[in-house]
Amino acid sequence: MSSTKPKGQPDDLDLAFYQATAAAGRLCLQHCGDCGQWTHPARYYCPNCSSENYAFEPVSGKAQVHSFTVSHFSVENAWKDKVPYVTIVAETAEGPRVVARTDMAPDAVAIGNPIRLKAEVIDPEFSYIWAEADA
Amino acid sequence: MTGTSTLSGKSAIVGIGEYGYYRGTDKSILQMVLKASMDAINDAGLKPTDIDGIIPPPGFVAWDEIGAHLGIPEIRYTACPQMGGSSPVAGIINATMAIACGMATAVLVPIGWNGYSALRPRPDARPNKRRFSAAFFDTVRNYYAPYGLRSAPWWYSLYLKRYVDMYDVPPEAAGAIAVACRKHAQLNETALMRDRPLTMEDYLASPFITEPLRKSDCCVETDCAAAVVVTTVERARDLKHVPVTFLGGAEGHPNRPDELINRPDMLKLGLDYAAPRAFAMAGVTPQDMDFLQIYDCFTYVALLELEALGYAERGGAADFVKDGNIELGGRYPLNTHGGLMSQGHCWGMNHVVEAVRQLRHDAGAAQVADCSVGLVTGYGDLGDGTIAILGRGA
Repeated sequence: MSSTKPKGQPDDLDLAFYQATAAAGRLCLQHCGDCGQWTHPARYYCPNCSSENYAFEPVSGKAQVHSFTVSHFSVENAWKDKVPYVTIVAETAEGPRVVARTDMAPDAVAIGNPIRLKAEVIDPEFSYIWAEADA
Repeated sequence: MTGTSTLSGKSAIVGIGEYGYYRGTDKSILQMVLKASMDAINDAGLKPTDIDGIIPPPGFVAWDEIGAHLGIPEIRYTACPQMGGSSPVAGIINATMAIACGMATAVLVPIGWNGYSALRPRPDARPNKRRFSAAFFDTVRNYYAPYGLRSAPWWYSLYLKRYVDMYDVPPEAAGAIAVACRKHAQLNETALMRDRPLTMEDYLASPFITEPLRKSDCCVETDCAAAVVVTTVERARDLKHVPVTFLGGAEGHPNRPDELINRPDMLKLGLDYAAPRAFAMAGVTPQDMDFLQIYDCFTYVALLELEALGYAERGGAADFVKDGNIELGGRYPLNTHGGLMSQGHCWGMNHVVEAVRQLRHDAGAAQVADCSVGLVTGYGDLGDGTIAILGRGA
């Protein structure tokens, strides 16, 4: 699962999300301290109750495929040798959806399939989210 | 024909200008925008001194330099809708509001970019001096781009694949959009894809970029600019051309607008919110339209827009676009200039310009006979949507 792909340049709450995930070594999402709503990307006000009270907490990793794409072409040197690669929109059991990489073959991925999410920590400020098939 | 809103029938588009559509140009973005702007002012039979409002593009060039270069002595109104490809139609709506409120009397709405040259710069080319301020670029940089989802085809594939898989949308439906645009481009001397016909067979043989998008589902990057002048209907009656009257318009935005995948319904576009309001303002129905100029950055997005406009249920646009229904000679000719798919990518201002030509009955070989009312849509920045319904005469 090693990677030298381009990373983001997160700041503000996006940076807090990545820092929390790297520190925990697993996917963490913003959790409202008042109503319990999970939110991604993180927001300064809870979209459910407008609370400013939150923490980034680990999620179960249980998810399902909400959508995906199979990329057959890339203009990026870092991705050219990976085609065709699958990228998944994963809907977590907690609610929020995240973009995830996967080594699953294109014909093994379908909307609604159960998957499990893991974090690959690249550095204290960036991690990849990976999806694998869940039995 | 005017609706019930205080805005309906309050403005008219009286001047149009276009520069393009090229792959490689020696002109700067500012030069292209100024050329299209001056052409639009001249086309209206006005002078720069008649212009008192400017609604600039959402990036690259700014209202103050446009006004200064054109020699506009007194600018009374400026505003800048920041919504990518839905900005031109938003500009028309914004100009109409300014005019209806008496804040301005003649508003220039220009746009332009080096959409080809910026992405493939010559070794000696200088970088563009300004870019965009939309927040969605942060979302893309932090959450999509690291995953090999670098630009628009890859971002939008994340929801278009769900659209195709959940509703069994056949590739032939998207192909009908691509084929119609290419067919219409053969009639347009300025179209980049003139003399390069595309059949359904060609379309289906086009390689995937990122599923469901084939190469032939993607619009063509070009260097270009376009501009229109909007004024009061009263003044429009005394100008050179048949006025093209603003009958209704609206903007709408997905929930949430700054990212793509956490919307409760990923397939609900800004246009889903905007279209009913625009038809109500104009006092017309989708079935009253004589033509459709649909923002077509990608064929499947155009299908979703047709559904948002009410021409089909969700997932059902395949039946609407088949059998030549959206081609010239059909009931709802779509993108009679070739669209972003085959004329070039001018942020949809080329769609506005074409709507004006059609309603003036000045569209040449692509003329929709006796057309009197049509619509233009905009789409941009992860799903913002705009619509303007325009009519012939004032």
